[in-house]
Amino acid sequence: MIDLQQVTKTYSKSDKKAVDNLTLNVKGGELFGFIGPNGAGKTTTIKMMTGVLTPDEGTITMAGHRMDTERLEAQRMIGFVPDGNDLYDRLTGMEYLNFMADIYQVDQPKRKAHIEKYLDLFSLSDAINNQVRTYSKGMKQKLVVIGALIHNPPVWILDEPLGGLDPRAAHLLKEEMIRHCNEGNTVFFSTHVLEVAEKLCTRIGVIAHGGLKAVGTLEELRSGEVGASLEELFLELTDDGGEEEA
Amino acid sequence: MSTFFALLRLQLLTRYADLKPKNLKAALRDKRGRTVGMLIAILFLVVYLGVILYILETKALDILTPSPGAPNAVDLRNLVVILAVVLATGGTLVMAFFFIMSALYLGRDATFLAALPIKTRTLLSAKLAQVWLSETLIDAVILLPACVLYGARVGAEPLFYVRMVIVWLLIAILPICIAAVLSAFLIRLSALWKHRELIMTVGGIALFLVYMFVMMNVGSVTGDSAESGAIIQKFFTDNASRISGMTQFFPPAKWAAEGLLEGDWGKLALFAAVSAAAAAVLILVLGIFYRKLSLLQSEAPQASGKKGIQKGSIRVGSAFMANVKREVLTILRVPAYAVNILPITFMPLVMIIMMGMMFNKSAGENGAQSLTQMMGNLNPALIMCIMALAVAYMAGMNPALSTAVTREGKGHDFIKSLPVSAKTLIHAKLAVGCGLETFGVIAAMIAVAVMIPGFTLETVLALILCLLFCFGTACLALSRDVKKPRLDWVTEQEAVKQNFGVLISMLVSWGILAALAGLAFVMIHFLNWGLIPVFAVLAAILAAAAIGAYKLLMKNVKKYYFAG
Repeated sequence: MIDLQQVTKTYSKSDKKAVDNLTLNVKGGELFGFIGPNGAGKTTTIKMMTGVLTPDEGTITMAGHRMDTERLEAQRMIGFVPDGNDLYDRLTGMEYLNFMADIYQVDQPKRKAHIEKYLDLFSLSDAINNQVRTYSKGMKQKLVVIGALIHNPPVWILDEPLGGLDPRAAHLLKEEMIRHCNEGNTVFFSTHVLEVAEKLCTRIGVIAHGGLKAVGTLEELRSGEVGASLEELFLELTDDGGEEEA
Repeated sequence: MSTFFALLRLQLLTRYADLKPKNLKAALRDKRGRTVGMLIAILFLVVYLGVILYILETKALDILTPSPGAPNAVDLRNLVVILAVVLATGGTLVMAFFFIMSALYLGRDATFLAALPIKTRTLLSAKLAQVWLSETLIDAVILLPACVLYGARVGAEPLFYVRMVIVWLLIAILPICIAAVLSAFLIRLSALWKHRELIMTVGGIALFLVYMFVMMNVGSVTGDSAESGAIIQKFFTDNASRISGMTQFFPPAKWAAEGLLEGDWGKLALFAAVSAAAAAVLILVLGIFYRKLSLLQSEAPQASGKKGIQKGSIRVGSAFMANVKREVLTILRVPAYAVNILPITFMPLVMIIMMGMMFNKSAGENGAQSLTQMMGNLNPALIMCIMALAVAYMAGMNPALSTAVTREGKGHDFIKSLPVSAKTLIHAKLAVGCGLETFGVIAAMIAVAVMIPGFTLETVLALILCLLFCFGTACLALSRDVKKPRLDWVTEQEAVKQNFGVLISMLVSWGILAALAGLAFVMIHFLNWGLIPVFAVLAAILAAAAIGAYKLLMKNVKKYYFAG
């Protein structure tokens, strides 16, 4: 479902590769956790996967569509929740959802059903006619999630999706992520909360210095080290991390 | 360093960071072309304004100097200085209002600063000092050249220049105090209503229009039409009482003008004392409320009261229309955008109406020819060119397209992640920006047709030229913003006001107009061409330029908009 082949990216006026020869394949039905220290290349990788940045080398394919040659088709396969949600805070929640539904060309019955379902699920109905700037951080995050999933895409790419959500909303979103994967779709999400990745993900990728240091199930990552937690593995794999986010 | 100076330094560094020698040096090293271009553009604008002021003021002084052979002639040269005092006072009032709204109330640092252990009055003083510094720099352009030219002409004593410096340093204080009170009132009022941004937008636009009306009331001559010495002479002699009257209307301006011109130190001291007292009272009184007022804007406005999905609120549309709607709503709902874009959209209309009214009023009072009669004596091609030039000159100042990509700010990456072609996104921006300009231009031309009846063909052809010009310059402005958007802004005011692209686009559009005006002059004056041939040539050039500009835009979109 998600395929990155030897992807490399260097920012202009920098001689350091933000992402270096990264190859990764995430299949349908997988809930993939993407973890790494600050500055490891997580955000750059996600930006390339969503078509925001163009890789210098390598190819990215989303649900069979190559990002370099079929960008629009590839982007239609994705529901993307970016990190940080200071978006269009002068629109009302409903105007924002209509905007997203128009962009993804969701017809009236489907968008109505989707909006009703998720507003109810996230208890956002009462505020939907207010401007987004009146929302709390968690409410904004809920709105962005509803908007990103409005076209029921096969691939969800979520950059720190649980930040700001209250425990109930976080639980509901995690359940939705699992349900989506159980239907044969893919969820790719980045997080700094290792416990969440440990409990939720079917596979985990650890990135550091722009390269994939390890990928596999938790058991595969442990590779025989019985009892090693994801935190201990993470610290071992990213021993000299700690620079700013690329 | 005291808290006051630390705060002032912080704000000045934030606002003028690009002009710090160290940063300029780094910019010249890393972005040589862009930095040199910026400096040339600033220099050009300063020279442009300087030359216009110099010509106008020198000519005015020439005309107003009493002839040696006319012993009873009245010396009106001091009107130049009085007018400069009036313009500096009025201009500061309007500009300071927008600056104060942005710096004191709409900055995103309000909550951050409120959490720091700073006395409210210290914070308010530092912010007002920043406004005073900036406005005093602008007043230097308005006041000092007029005073220096006047002083040189009348052979003023050295103390005149000392008084000039005192007036210059003090002249911004009272308008700033008035603007601060007005803005505090508007902010408090807007917080009472859930559509607070609408109140601020309407209030800002209303103040802008009042200022325009007052300034137009001083006289009906603009820099562009002031070529004739006779017009300037008529302007000053006809408006002598009005210009003096305006200082009567605002006594501190009268004290400043009289103190400066007559060497009346008592009046100058009175002016200084009133200015200082006003600043002190403002800081003392507004200091009580400022903290609360500054935080009002960061508070969540009242909820709409409508809960759940409203009937008809879920509507299907195309991706193009979705983006058009988003752009329009953003412009209408962000006060900084609305205040900077909407008045300029309708400025051609307002200016045409005001100029027409002033001219006809003046003609009625003096028994001179009406505008229609005067136009009837001119070559129809010239009439068309004057109409097109006047409207296009003002339309070229619209920042709607020169900031269209910049306004995306932090949302730029999110927009790029959506499955919408760059062409669709850019066409939506173009539709909104050109739509606004077209609306303003058509409204202005309808006003022209109503005020100067009998020139329908000339008006229609001028409208076509204007629309072609607007489309071409819109493509160029957007093309530049696609190539070099400024996405790291903190406040919306920075995005739309402190944007180098706006200045560049304005200068480019004026440059194109100047070239076309030169060509039209040759065709009409030297070749004696009539209306249709002149229109055909200008329309063909503008159409070709518009196609070229559109192609350049699309090329830049392809090259830069989605470039990693």
